[in-house]
Amino acid sequence: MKVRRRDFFKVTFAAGAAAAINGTSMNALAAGTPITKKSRAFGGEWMASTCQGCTTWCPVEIFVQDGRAVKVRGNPYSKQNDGKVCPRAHMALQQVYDPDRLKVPMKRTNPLKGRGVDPKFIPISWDEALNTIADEMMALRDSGEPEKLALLRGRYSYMRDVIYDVLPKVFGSPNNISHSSMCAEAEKFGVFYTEGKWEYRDYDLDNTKYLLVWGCDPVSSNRMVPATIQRLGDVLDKATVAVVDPKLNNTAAKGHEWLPVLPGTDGALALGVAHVLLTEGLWYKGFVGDFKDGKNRFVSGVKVDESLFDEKESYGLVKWWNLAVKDMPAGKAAELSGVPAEQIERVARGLGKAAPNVCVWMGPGCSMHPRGAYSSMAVHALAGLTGGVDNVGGSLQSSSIPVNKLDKKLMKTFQDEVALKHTKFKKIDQRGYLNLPAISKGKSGGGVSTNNVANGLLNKDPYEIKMIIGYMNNPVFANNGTERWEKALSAVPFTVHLSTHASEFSQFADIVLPCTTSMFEKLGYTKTKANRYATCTLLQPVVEPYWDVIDDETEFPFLISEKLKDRGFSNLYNALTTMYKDPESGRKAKNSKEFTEYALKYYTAPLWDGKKDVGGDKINGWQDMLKRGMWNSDPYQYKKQWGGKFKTVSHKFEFYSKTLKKALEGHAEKHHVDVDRVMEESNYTVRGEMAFVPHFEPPLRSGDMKEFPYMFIDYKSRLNREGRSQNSPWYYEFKHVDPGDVGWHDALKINPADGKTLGIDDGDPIRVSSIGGSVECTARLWEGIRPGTVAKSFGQGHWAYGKTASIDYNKAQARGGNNNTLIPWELERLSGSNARNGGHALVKIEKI
Amino acid sequence: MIVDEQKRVLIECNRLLAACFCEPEKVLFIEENLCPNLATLLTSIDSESSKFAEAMQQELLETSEVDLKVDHAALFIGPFQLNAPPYGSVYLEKEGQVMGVSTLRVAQFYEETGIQVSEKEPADHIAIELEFMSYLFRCEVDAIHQEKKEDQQKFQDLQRVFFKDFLNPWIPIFCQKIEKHANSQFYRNLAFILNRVAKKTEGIVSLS
Repeated sequence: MKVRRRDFFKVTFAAGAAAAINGTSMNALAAGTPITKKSRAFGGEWMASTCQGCTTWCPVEIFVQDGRAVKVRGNPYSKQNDGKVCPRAHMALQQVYDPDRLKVPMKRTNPLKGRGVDPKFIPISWDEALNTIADEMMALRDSGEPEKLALLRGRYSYMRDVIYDVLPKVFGSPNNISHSSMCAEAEKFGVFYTEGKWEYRDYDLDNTKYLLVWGCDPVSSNRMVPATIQRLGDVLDKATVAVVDPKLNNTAAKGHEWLPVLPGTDGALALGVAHVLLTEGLWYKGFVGDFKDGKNRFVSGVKVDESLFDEKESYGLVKWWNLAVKDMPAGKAAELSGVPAEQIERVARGLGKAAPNVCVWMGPGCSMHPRGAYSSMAVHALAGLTGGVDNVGGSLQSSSIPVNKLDKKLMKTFQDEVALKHTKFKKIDQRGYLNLPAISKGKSGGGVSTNNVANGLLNKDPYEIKMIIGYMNNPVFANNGTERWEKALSAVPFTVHLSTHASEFSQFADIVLPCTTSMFEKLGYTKTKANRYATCTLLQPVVEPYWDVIDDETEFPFLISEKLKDRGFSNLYNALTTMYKDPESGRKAKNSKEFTEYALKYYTAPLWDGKKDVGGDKINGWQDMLKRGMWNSDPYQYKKQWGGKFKTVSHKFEFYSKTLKKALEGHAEKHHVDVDRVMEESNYTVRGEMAFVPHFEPPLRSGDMKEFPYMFIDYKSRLNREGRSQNSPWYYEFKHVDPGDVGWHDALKINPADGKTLGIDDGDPIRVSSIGGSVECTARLWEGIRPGTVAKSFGQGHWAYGKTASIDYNKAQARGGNNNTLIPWELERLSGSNARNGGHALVKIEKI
Repeated sequence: MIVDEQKRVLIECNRLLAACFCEPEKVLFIEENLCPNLATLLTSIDSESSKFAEAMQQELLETSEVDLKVDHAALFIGPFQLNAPPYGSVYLEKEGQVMGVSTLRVAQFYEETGIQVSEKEPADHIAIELEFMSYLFRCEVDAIHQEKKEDQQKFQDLQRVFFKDFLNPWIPIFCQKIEKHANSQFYRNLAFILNRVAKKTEGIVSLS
């Protein structure tokens, strides 16, 4: 806040002089119409928006009273969450009203960058901030190197097209880098190279007879949390629930079976289950097919003649058996995975009995590790074997959401020669390099490798990045191997961070820009699915922001485009105002608010403009859309991909992945090597045909087990708003809702037997160290973690954040420890993913 | 000094204190004699505070604007943990958030007197509350001069209630935080003055 008028300082000292009420200036106050208690409107209103606390992206309603958001519930129209929300939505109230939020644009005054080095931020006007940023961008254009601008995306809405696509592409940079590979690209890998969809699945809990949860905790995280909370009780009554997780998570605690797998050995366990299903003739023949004569020839260790089997919806079952499954009987799987053979057999038999109404719910725990791509395939192959793929009570794909797409053709007309040329340059994450295939959707370098940006920046390979614009992200905290990011970001000459809160990333920023909170203040939309329904749900400004904030994905690009236009580069402004006209009036936006509204209307128009019957909810115009805040599709129709419509090379569900073979061979050919070399460069051990089937890979562990004898695993709290709730006191107050956790502590779960060996008691302060780094936290002796493995919730350990998340910012003193400091930098290279699971971090534990 | 004159001083004093909590602009503050004027005003209600205001002027002259802004930001703006949150609700409410029920009541208090906030800030920001106190004192003094006894009483009541319920309860701890975390003498002195003026105000408004 500034003093805006000089007469605010004026003082009259003359004794007895009348105080001139009209002559004295006000600064932050102004005359208004008196509102008496009687004339004030009381009550409140439920207003629709969207919670982005996890990737369920729940349609919600917020009760707004006297301009304040006071309560949250699910949007009663929603068929994906039945009008219910999980704790995350409520916690958002402490984010929007957090005194530590970014309030005004600020700039660094200390040129030195690093942990514990105060950037000495001072407030600046929006005009100064935008002018400075535009000058830096123009310098890159003027020197013919627009590719040296990188746009790092974090949590997004689907308004992302504007900041993530149009801005960099019209400007001339190929470096629009998403955060996707930090989440679960290795998980999508397994699904794509079996089922042909690079997507998360939906799950038909209402009709399942066997729920096999693998490497996640669906009532606390993953992608349909409220619907699962609502249904798990019924599922437990009428189906079997088995959970594979080294830690007793919420679902495991309620389930019928807990399979405490040795971290990183999920591939062996899945193959062991497959072995039982096949040798005992329990696979679902309506999907997979059968031996032509009906006689089961799957005998442990014995090869089978492919020609004897007649497959229906799948491809390569016998090849898979011969290459990988036949040699993984339950006993061997038990040895490798630590799960008892009888339990493997019992679960497999249960699956076989329940088939095809089997729901294999795969999460990142089994896939996001250095050799996790094949674990992911192996787990998803069980969905195929049991016929639960795309089937009643199984794992489903999604109905489409018929919103408008980014008009790439029109966008291209605004790209000048420089932009067209430079957007084709290699990207800073080195995707598609020999040792980083990132073969998303079958294409070499088709996927992002977010954590490898740190290497690209450090090594200036393929070139130097001179400017970063990042939004709603914190890569230096959220990627494993934080030290590497700290070094990399320290060396970037100019960084802009758009966020609701300053964080470790802001510590390396030159300018920080305050943004709206997505649930309460932002205008936009997301697409989501759960419970058989696809949903388009709006983010809406249900309260007036009380600080000077903007919408990151739309207002920022628009405001920058105006500044670039002032400097002679009008392509971006012209692109935005032309591409996103108001679909109703045809008008071009005159300011950033109007632009945001027009862009949202452009995208969502097919859902409400009544021009075409798109199915699902009937919405009568824009105002109706705003009021309802969402659209539901018709329910997903089962078996849409059956009948040869899988998007794989064979058009079948692939146990032997022709799709992966094509992709790997394509990548190998690009680098003039063979697939074996690709496997070697990508940290995988198998050679030959094994590369094309789900198989077991011995887990890669970082560190010497003699020095670091415990496997560390990371998990997500049900209170984590994607790592953004650590400044909320409620996070700590209620932390005990996560099994094994303790309020106001960052607790490392240690099996009591290990505690005894270590001489560590419950509640002891401890130091945990790996080859990546050390953190300090609290010991929690707990039977819910398998011996030899220790677990800690992701989220705490912020050394540059608000007053609750950090103990003392000035001393860079964190509350708790960041798991990503412990987990050394590593990738799952075939998908480009962060390797943050599977126990690849080995640790030692010391009492302090 | 008669109460009328004390109130006259408090009109100016609260306004200048409000200015002190705004973003520091060295040239403007010096040109407008912010600290000397504050010092002069304070002589009539608290001579020790007056000396502190004089020292603030010296600090203003000797400290760079960037250093003052860095200190001001770390105390009252951020972007990281806010060392001395300038919002009443952070102190008055259990949750320690902004835009709490107390903030709403402050905004309603303003509205009932025909005043609204024109800044993008919660209504209970220290600079806004001090400006509002200045306004209430001014209204009372005006009422005295216009011999509107009912109005005089009304504004005295408003001063008392607003100060007692919304401003005074959080000033001591707020000032403690400033004194603990400020790097510059400028803001440490400001905290001292605010605390003393609040104590003085407490006596004056309860007498009215």
